[in-house]
Amino acid sequence: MTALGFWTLVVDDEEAIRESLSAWLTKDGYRVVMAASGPDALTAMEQRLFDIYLVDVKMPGMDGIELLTRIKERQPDAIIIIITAHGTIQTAVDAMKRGASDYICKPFDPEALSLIMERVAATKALRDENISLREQLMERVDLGGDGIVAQSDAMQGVFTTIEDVAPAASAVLIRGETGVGKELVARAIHTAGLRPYGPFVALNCGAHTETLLESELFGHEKGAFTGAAKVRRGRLEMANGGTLFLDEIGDIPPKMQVSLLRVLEEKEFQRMGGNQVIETDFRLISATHRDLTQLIREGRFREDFFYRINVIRIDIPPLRDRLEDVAPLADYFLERYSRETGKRILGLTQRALGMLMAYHWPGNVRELRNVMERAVVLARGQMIGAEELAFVNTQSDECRLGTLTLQESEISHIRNALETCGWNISHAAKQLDIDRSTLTRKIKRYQLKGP
Amino acid sequence: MPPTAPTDALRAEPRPLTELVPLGAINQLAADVVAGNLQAILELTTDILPPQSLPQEAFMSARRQYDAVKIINHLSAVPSIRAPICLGLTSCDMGTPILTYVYGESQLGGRVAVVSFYRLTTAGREMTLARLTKLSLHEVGHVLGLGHCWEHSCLMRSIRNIDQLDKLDLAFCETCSFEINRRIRQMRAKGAGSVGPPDATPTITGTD
Repeated sequence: MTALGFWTLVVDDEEAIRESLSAWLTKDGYRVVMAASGPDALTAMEQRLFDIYLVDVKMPGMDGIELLTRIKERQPDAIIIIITAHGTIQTAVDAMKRGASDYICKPFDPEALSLIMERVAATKALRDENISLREQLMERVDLGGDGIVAQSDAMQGVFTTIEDVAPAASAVLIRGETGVGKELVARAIHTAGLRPYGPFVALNCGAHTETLLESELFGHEKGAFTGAAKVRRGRLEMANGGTLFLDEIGDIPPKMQVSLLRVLEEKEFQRMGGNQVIETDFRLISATHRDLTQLIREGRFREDFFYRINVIRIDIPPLRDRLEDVAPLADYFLERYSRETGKRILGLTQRALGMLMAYHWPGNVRELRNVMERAVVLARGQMIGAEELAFVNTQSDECRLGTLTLQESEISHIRNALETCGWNISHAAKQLDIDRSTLTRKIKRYQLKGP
Repeated sequence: MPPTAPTDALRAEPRPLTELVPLGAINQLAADVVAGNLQAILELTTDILPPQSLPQEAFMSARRQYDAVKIINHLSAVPSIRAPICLGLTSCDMGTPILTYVYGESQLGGRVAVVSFYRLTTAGREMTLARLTKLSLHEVGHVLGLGHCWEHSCLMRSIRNIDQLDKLDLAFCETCSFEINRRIRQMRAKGAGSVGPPDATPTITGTD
């Protein structure tokens, strides 16, 4: 267990003890600040909060127990080790009841001190990891825990890019419509990257007001603004040692783009309302559905920030441009929701699959997921048929194939293919996997007309 | 290397980078072995100075030990010790105000270190000398400004007990070696100047 970087506050009224302990900790990789009294310690806490506190129990004025209570008020998860002299064990036991992590009698046995410090450093590291994992779990629950399912050439290209860029530390910008799975791609890069065991911290920049977004990103000190009742760590801090995923980055106000640019350049920042410099080191992956170059032209997005976040770019095509992914995705969601609901559903009927293939999918994979979830919940038999997908009719004008005949369905499907390919008949024929001459004949027969 | 006297003739020669100071009666062979290894492993030219008494103010009568911090403070103030690195060797038991015992003590990025072989003599003579050498190199590493290393067999690893000390190689890991060489080069370039990190304040530190 490495103690590297843990900030430690040594509080003792005896200079010799303070100096010796501080020196010992410094040599072991801790960053140490010393305080000669309780009030001095509280003043030091104004500058920064510490990971570990070593507090002498017997001090004139404010004793160690009172200081322990004051530290806990300010920082409930603080790790505090009480230093006692022989004969004050009972006081140490009281301190443990008040939330101290451990106590040690001075003079210390060197091995005992080492063991205690290793244990609290491990506790601190575990606690940090736990917070990150909890955050990740919450994100995962929101996401549904999906992997990336795709077999289209376009997505195979995306997978190749992910493999290529993952081992680098460069910033990545993912572009794609809402619901295409930008966060999944970001997670895949994180997992295949250099810091797979570091935290993956995601934030949707479009879901917050400017002040809230600033607080979410940078965190805030107690009292930084009305309602800031306690200290809060920001996403920049949580992402240390891992990946920060900023979705809808085009929605970040220009002023905050400047602040973020500074963090990316200097790898340090301050919480809102605080003056303590916090170091952080993360890989940035951003995503947007907007055309950032257009936003730059309109003066709503900073060019320097754009170049900083757009080192590597990945474009994820919308689902309507890769209809061959619809079937495997539908099967994947069907299997998943069948398992979750305990229903034994074997698959989709050909007509149901045709309906899914003919749909425009404005909401992309996320919409397909929701459609399949609802279909599974509504299913009465072992197959999902057109009846189970009939509700799609009411969801969108574009999904109106529920009651169409085979011929109408074919017409709609051909028209969609032609529109998708900009009425390039050769391309459309290739997409439909038929000869160009067959497609020309069908266009003529169904009297389809281009723009 | 035999003890040297500060004669005019010797003053004309390049000054040694390390001066080894026997504190009280110690085995001459021990001083020779430590000095030899400082030269062989760290390439630090080393002189063995005439023995000195342990400072009486460093004796903690209640614990029947010498305060290693006070020994270091004493050695720092001896005007005749002028080398950039000073290593005291003693056969007496040492402790500090916070620790019940120490094998060695040093100024991180400073000038002075002290090592005791009081607790190292649980095996034969060769083993004792090996332990003393490892501890001396470790403490000199601290004087050169290095903190503890997390490589398992590196001499700069934190030494918790004798078993752990015995398992260490008589060598620094690649990273520590690089850093030590860099700092010794700096020290040579400066002549007999400071050897620690550029803005290091010498402080008493650590226990090994």
